[in-house]
Amino acid sequence: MALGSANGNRAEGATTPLMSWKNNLRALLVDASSTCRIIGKAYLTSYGVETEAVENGEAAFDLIYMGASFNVIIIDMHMREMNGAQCARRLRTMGVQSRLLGMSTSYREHEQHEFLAAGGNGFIQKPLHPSKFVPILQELDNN
Amino acid sequence: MERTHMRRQVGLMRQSLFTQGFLDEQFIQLEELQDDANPNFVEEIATLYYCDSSKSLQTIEQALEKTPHDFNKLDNHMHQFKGSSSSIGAKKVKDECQQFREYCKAGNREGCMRTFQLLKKEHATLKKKLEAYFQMARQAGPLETASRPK
Repeated sequence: MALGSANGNRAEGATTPLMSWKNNLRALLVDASSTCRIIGKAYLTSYGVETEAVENGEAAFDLIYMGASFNVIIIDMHMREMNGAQCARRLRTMGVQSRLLGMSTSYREHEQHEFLAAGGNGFIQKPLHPSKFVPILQELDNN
Repeated sequence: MERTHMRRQVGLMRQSLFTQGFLDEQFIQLEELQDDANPNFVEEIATLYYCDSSKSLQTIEQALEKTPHDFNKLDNHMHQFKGSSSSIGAKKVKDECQQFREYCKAGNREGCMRTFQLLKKEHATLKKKLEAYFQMARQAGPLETASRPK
């Protein structure tokens, strides 16, 4: 299989987004798997959301320190260096006000409690699918 | 005519990947992200997945060789692997991942080892099938599908 330029980027104006929003929505994906990052970014971008994807919590913190801001930050619950709750806690300590969503293929109740207690807002199932993220984006767009 | 025949073959090949349970609906979602601006998106994702996942499998294999098994660590590795496998719609691979995680939860060493071998087999089988599919799809040329407006 030939490796192409799969980075989830779409050329400006190359394709009309599948949805349009009142606001300029920005999302950050934090996921150790490059497959999941590319797919997630491609999905959200095709739905008109300006999306960044990073591979771990530290990279997310760096972006925030550099002044980036997002409406929603989607955090893989099970990263190597830190879990979703630890990442959420640090983001809140940094003053991040974005919606924080934990992402996983399956959830353990105590992990969910921990994430919410750390300042997380909710959860989204992996793999990302428009039926899951569109309602969340609609809610964000209306607030 | 030749091209039509090839496209039919590609269609049949694709269909069998679903009916035989190798792929699930998530793969269709990937196909929907493919368009004129990203004509090889699905193949590129599959290539990336196989790069990624081969490394993950090595890590898990090494962890399985250590005794005693650190089931927590194994479960974490597998969780990530399951995530990427789910993202491309690799159904049989994903199912084996789930089974592996069940054995980890139960602390069943033999179960883990056995399932891991099955997992590697499914992973390799899907790779071969996808390679054949993408190659034939490229030879058959692009389909005239309804793509999103530019």
